[in-house]
Amino acid sequence: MKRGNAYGGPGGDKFWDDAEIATLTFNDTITRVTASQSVDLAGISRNRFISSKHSILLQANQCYFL
Amino acid sequence: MLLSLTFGYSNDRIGREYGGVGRRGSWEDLIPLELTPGERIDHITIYEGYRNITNPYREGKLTYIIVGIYLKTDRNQQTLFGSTNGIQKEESPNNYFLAYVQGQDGGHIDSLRFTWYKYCLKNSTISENDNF
Repeated sequence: MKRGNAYGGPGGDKFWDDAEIATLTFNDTITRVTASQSVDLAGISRNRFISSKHSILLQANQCYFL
Repeated sequence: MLLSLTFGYSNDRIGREYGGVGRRGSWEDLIPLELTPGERIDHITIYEGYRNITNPYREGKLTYIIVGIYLKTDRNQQTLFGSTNGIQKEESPNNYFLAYVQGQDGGHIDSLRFTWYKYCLKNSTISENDNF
């Protein structure tokens, strides 16, 4: 058995349940992985995002009236 | 970016959903990675980075989380969940397959750690001290 490095940060208020792992035997394997995702705003603060969206709307309006 | 992750095991047990608490804004469920009998995950790439998520412990600050995960199997099925926009770290120990996953989560996936089992020929022995 190899235990790998830990990735990510120190946050998270819920530790993954060891009891869940304890139900596994050496013969058990992973059969399915499911996931969900959200839009990645990569480092853009909410305020900046809202203001840039607002600015695009203003530009659109300007184009419309021209 | 990655919001939640769930693993199902061959003992018909489905682990709880990690992350994804109180889904906000726009999000989508992704096409699951379904492994065929005998198929194993043998390669993982993690993408991690700072994001401006709702975090009551770090109001007004960015939080370092897992933003994406890429999984590859020994039958060459490949899946990317989430974003590749982050620091990339790979784990793919030779002759091992992914046994189970542990970590910490809240609204998103904060951290992950993988445990690997060694491929063994029938009648061979497993060394308990076979760690990194």
